[in-house]
Amino acid sequence: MTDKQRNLFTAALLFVVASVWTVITVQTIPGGFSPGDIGARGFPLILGIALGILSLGLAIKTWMACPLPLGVEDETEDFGAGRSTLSVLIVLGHLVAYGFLMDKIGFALSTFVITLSMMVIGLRERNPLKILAFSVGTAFGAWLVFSRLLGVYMPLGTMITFG
Amino acid sequence: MEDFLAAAVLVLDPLTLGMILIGTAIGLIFGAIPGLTYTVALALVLPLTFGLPALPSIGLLLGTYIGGMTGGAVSSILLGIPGTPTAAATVLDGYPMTQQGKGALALGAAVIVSVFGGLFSLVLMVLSVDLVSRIAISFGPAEIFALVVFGLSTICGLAGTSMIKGLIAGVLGLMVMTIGLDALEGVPRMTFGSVQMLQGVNMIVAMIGLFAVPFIIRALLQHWAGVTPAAATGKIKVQFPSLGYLFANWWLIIRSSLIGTGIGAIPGTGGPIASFLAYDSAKRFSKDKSKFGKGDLRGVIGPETAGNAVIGGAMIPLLSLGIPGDPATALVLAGMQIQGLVPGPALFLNNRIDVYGIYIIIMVSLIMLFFLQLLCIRLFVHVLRVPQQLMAVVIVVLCGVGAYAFRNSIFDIYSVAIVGVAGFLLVKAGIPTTPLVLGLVLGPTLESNYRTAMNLSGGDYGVFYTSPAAVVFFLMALLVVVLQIVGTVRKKPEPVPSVG
Repeated sequence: MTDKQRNLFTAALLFVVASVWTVITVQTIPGGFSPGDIGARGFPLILGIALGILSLGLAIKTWMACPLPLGVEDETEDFGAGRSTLSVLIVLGHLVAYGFLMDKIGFALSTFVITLSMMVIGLRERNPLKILAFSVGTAFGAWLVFSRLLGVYMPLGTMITFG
Repeated sequence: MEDFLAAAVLVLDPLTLGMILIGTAIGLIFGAIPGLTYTVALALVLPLTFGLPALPSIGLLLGTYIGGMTGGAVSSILLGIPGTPTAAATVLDGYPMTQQGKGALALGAAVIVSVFGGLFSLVLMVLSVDLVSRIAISFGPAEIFALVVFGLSTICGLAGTSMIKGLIAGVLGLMVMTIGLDALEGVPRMTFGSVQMLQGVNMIVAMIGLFAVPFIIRALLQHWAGVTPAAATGKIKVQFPSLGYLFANWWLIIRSSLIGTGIGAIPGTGGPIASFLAYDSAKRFSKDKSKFGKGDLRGVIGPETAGNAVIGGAMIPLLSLGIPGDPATALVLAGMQIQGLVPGPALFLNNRIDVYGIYIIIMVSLIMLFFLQLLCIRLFVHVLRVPQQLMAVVIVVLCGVGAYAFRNSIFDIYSVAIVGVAGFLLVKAGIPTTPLVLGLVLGPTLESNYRTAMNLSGGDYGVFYTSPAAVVFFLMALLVVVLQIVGTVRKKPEPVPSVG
């Protein structure tokens, strides 16, 4: 994807987000009750409109004067779109799973499972000893530091209670 | 004096000293690891402060902040990879010095001048913060709204090469902070009937996602591609420059300290601008400019002094006005608020002991920093050798713990995942995250003060232009925007590489 295509796609996506946001704001959030009260609706509405205008501006600027500067350096571009998507899905999946498992089987056990899974799926590690040692070490270390030494309240689990 | 002594007793308590030491060490380690900024460290240690008393928790946070500001120099000088954005300017002459076998001297100089810069800015902060807070005590919602507008105007400077993308990021940050229960009228906004959504997206949770998740994704990608950062080898020790050399460059050190403090005091600027300005001034005022970029020690002294002088500067608006200068100080601000310390004019009236405590904590942390660096430089180099992919796995755990511990909410772990991935995709789309963070931090203050000001005035917009302070802040905001536009127009467009 070229810079121009990427900017146009981003602008279109943001315009859709701004439009949906604005419609939902008008339909679900009540306005103010007096001339001096802009109410709970005022800011979200202004921001939705502003995002719409800015995304249109981005699209027009990209169309008129290509190529538009990237804005920030993308350090992952060289790794390919497929790999980038996969890494995003792996990280997203592990964090969501971590939250789910933490609730069900508790902090210590879920930390072990997630660390192990990250080693196997994320890092593609195949040495069982290394995987096990790192997973047990991380889970025990996290449990010791957070739950015991620092006294941070972490979930015990609704299905299994294990520290 | 009585309050100062009481604060000193509290800070010299073993728990507080221990927390400062731990924080400083954590900050140094995080700062030294490229890509793992002290902002991430602050976001991760913040939940650990919940069970601590006020000063130990602030000690942990400020120690992390101060340690992190300095830690970036280690990898900049030894590996040529800036550990933090602030240390980016240090690479220019620090790494060539290492290549010439003078890395130890560069490290020694960085240790001395960074501590000096920090102490210098602390003195300036102590002298000015009270005055600023006395002025600020007369501020009402209209003035605070104008001040926040000024803070937001710096988005133009943080936007990078595309101002429109910076503005989009800022608006997105403001939008995210409107999600949840409206603080003034109790109306649900964008919650779609979800009870968990009523609590909104927490600023800290959003920041953990924005800073830590992209690091994990990048580390995985680099691991798959077999890209590993260069590792420092050989024996590392610290070697100091002679006193004569430092005295001969006294004006460079003072000037860089002033630049750092001044830039740090402006919300939304921060270390990278200060260190590059200091590097630029070191080169500009030098008689022999040809040595810069090839391993000139002055090219290390300038940015390192300014980078740490930002610490005291950033504390001025934070303590006196409650305005964080950058994401890191926003996290320090959050930590103070958790402890019931609300920065702003009232802090100096109601919590004088805590304010003196903060001054002493900064001084103690800087002194600890000096000795820690002397003792632990070699250890830090070993941390640099830890593979980033293993660090990424640990950070997944820290993300979960940090997000959950903040409000004991599993929902916040999901928020970290979603915000983090969204932040990563925004960077992929070329949209900078720093203005987004500014929007997240200043959004609630902006809205609540505008609405309060309008309610109090009965809808009269005159409240914003009849207040001299508000007018001054609006004019400053306008000046920032105009200067940025003029700078953009004057700047010769650079060729942009086409990707894809």
